[in-house]
Amino acid sequence: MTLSIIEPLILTIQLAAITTIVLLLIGTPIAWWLANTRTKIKPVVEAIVALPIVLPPTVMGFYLLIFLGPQGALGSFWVSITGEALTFSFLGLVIASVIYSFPFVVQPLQSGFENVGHGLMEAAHTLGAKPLDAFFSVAMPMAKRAYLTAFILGFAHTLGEFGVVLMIGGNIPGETRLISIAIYDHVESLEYAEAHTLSIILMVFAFVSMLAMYLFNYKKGER
Amino acid sequence: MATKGQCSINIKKASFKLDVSFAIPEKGVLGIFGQSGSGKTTLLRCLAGLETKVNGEIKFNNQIWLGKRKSLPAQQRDIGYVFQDSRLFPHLTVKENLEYGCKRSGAVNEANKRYLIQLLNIFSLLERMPDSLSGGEKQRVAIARALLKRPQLLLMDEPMASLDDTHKNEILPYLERLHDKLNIPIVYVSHSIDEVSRLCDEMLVLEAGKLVFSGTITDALTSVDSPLLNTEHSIAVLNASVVSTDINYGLSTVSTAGGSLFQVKGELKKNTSVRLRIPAADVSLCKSKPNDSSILNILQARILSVVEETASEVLLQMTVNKDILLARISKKSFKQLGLKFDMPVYVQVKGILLQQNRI
Repeated sequence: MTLSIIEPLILTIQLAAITTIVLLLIGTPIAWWLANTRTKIKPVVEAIVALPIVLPPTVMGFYLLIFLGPQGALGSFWVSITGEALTFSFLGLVIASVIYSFPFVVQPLQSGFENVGHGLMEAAHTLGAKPLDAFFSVAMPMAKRAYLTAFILGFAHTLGEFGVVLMIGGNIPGETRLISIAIYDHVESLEYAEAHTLSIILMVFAFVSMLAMYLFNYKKGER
Repeated sequence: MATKGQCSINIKKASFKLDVSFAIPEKGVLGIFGQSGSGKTTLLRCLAGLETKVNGEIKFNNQIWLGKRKSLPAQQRDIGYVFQDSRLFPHLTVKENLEYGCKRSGAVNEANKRYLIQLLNIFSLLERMPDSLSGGEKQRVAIARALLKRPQLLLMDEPMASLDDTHKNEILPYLERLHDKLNIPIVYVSHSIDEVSRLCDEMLVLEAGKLVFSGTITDALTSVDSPLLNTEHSIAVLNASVVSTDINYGLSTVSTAGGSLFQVKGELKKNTSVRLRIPAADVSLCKSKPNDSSILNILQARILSVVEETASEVLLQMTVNKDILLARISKKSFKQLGLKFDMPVYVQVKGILLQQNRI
């Protein structure tokens, strides 16, 4: 395989992996809060979390471009401390991907935590477990399936992003040139063979990860 | 009654306001009785520290659990809690469930563990997952789990409510054993007269968040001002000890705290404590002493009060020596015999439910 295939492939996997890990870390407390809160603003927060599902990626990309750009709120701050722009960089892509794939991680976790229920956490407390201890010893292992679903969905969804990436990442080989961009590029240049190879890889991967997720859920449900 | 704690709390819930004050005994079972919605589970949850927004004061074992400014969270109160629905952790084996609490309280004690596993007969379940257990087995595991952390107070919220009768009978003997073997107080929430008459020593009766009666189980079941007196399961409870046995007939004679003698089935060890439960429906009355009855226990009594209930039945409260017995008889017999207050009568006790080793 040529560099034009390997490079975007590796870059994409890196991005998806980092994004998913970041998402699991920041998604966990948010999902836990959503699953347990009784505040009235919960639907508002849920709607904001769900926004990326329905928004056209270009809309998200556009706002992110403004937000992360050298004149934007975060972008200008970043330039002032590092001297480098966030847009058209790998880090910028990570930030964008985290926002873009947010609901795909938070929503499964939230429903996983909701299924754990308050009762078992209370039982853990009466047995001497502090809140964090109870979370790690009861809630998290019980939400194992939700974590797997969240991981697969977050990873697969990041893998397939195009619109947002195009808007704020551009097409810098080794920095922001992801599979989806590369495929688009290859097709534009009528290099169908390379486009095929990358597309097939993405397709097989997507299928295998979905299959893994459903198989796992199916086996659990069978018991 | 020696006390180990004091609780006076109030809390506002959507449907009622709980406002109670009572003492926690040093040992024995304190029953909390009430219909659903009376606040008994809320009361237990307040004791455990599972309710927020509780006002008042809870002191236990010289420790302040709830005060003006602070409330110890559940994990810092020295309690064991048995929930109505077991709440075993489904992702852990029975053994891991048992170890969850004692690992955290640092009370790992192999001897205690073996003892509880044997007491509750759960050895064969240790490697199983909670999902594969029956309701009764789950509750036995839940009780062992709560006790393994060596709590100073055991709270039980209708541990048998979710079980059918067969499973109830499977677990009741274990609860009776606990009553005898544990030297920590137990607070036991229930809405079953049968359960409280078997297990409890002291009673609190709740109605709509208010305490309407508190006293010993004997008083709670037989005094006129107790809401437990006149129910379809009216029953008297007497504590007694064995005075002699009759090997020829397989009987034992027991003497109650009030000075009455009863003959009960079984050759019991002398001086052991027993609890006699005598359902009102199993007691009948004669104006003169019957000499040709098949019933063994015939005692002289005086009618203390008449609680009229349905169109066809009356409930009588009688003193036998210093004990109180209840009898439910038909209104027709009541009228025909001309029974009235303070009249001397003979009671025939047909059924005595016996529990051994009561303290």
